[in-house]
Amino acid sequence: MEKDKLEHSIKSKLSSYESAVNTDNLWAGIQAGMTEAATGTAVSSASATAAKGGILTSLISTKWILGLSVVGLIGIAAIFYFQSQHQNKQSEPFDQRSTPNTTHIASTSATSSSNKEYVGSEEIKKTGHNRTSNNSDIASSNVNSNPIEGVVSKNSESSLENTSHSTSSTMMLPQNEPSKESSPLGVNPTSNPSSHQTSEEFPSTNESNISSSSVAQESTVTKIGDTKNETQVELATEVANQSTELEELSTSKTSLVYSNSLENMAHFNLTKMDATTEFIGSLPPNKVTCPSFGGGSRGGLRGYFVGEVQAIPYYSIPRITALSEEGELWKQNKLETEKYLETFQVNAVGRYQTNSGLYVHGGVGYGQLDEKFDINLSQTITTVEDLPVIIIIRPDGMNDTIPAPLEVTQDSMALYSTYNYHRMVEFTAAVGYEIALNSALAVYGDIGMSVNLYTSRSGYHIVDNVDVVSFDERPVFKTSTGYKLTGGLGLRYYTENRVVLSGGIDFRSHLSNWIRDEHPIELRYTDIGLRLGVGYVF
Amino acid sequence: MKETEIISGCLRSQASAQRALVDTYAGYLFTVARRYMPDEASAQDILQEAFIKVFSNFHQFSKEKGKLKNWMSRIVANEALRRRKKYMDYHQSEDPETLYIKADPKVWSDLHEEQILALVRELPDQYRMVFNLYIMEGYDHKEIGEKLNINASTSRSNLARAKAILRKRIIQTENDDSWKKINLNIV
Repeated sequence: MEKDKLEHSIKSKLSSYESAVNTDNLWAGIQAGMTEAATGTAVSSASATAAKGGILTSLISTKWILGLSVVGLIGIAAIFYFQSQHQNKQSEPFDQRSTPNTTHIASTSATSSSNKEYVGSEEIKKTGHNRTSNNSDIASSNVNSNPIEGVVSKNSESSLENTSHSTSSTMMLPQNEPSKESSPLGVNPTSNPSSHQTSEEFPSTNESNISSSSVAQESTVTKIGDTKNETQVELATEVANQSTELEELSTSKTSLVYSNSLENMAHFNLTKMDATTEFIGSLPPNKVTCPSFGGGSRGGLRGYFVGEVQAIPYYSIPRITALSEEGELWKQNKLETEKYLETFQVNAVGRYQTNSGLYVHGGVGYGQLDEKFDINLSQTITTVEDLPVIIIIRPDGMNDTIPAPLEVTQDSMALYSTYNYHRMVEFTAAVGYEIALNSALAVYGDIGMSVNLYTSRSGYHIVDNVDVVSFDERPVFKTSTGYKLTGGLGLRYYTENRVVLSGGIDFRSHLSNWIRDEHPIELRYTDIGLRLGVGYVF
Repeated sequence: MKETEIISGCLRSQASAQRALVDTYAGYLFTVARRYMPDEASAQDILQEAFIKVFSNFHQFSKEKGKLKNWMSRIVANEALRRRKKYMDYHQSEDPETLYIKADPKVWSDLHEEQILALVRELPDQYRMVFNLYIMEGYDHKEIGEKLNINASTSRSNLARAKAILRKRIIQTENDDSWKKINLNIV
């Protein structure tokens, strides 16, 4: 009974009790909140600071500096890491690097292959072909057109290997002194009396100037001169021009593949094409050139996989569409101070980049957009004055009474600002094309779509610099996914050690309306940003 | 303005109807907010946010859901709960001896609404929430448990403790002049 009495008493007393409340103040606050809700814009202390400082302050805000610092540190760490890797590789015997006007053959198994070639040469000698290893190399290199083709064919396997290592094999031989007496390809018939047969096939010439400099792991054709032998001329021209992207020197299982073909900067790998045989192999040069380098004529889907971290500060431009008179009124009252926005995105992107220049990339990123809108909130307040009449005392002692105004109308103006904080996870997919400007620098362009999932949309609004109300979640915004059209245009620099630096313009157009349908405006953004990236070529 | 006119006007987002709604129900809803919040400023914040939500979601109101007053009252209560989850410690405790205090039933009817309200607002947070939701809003203990993320048994226990505390304090203040010191001018 007591229980019922307690509950009943409290409930009956409080259920109808009305506390005193100043409804004018309450209504003003509600109006501000409603207008803010209709606009979908917000305010924060950080954004207020940005608003005061302008776009420059916004661009160099702490968050962006932190983001760029992280990307920079990752890049520096990557460079140091791969620098050390590169030094380790340099200490290995078969790392080959190109120099201007030279031709390099990089081979992970140069020593063994050279030995084999030497053995091969020995085998050829045993078959009666009295040649030096150099001769054997050159001859076998021209197996299709050389007069000794038939001889070589008797020992095709070994000669083919020699073909594949035509230059490498010379590495194992004592250096031939450049001599007018030497054969066109560095063979000095006089130094090898038993090479008469070779001499017939490779007539010696006084003008022959091809010399081989034998270095432990490097062979360099330093000069290619005239030759009387047509085949040798063809070979010399072929090597000198280095214009073929894929130079198959033999129709057999082994071939010499140029990885890049620009004159004076050729890098080519010695690759044994027969998968069944041992890997003679190519060690990709440490200096990664643009995958599209060479004009993309090598084409195909072969290419690189590139992992990249991107940091993109944006300048965002709101696109507002009024759907009703109310929305149009809001647009008219809106001040042009909402340009102070902080938009930032960090992406982790994987890119497959073909040698033809075409690439596709996909990635995931985390982004923010802090927006601020300033609105002039005008309202008319009508108050009832407690003055029924005005009494005027005339000189004659009589009084006139004039009805006093019962209502006093007063216009008031308030500046209210709303700040919103949007946080989102974004998934992006795009296709692009890269054009190499030289071996290290390329220009790229890409276009794609992104889908973002909003993780939070908080904010609050301020009326005349006084915090009125804050929102953990802004009900004015849609919480569904958003879609964007994305694009980019910029430059990539392929450093040594496979690190790729990129910088360029990034563009995003928000396709989805941010505001819920029941509100009188639509809000979308166009973002223009600076895409900075650090990547690694795998 | 009649309630039906207010409703139809609010559905069309007419400012005059919205203002009328505020004028009509602000006092009652402020009482609801004050029951949940221990300080006036928080109660006013909640009231304002609740009205904004009412107007933003007015299309969701239907008479099938009950009276407009009760619908708005629940919005205020939910807003208070949302605020409580963020700002308040829900792990307070109260002396169990208060469970055994008895009070004279006659006392209840003699109390002014502001006095009762003050007593309710002095309750520890976890007891006040359960008391309001059960006694005033009419939720059962299962619903309260879901709202407050507690067990239904805990809700029952908290309600019993809340009542006990109220009885104790009423007895303590029966002959206490402190009642007279309660400021009834809230705003």
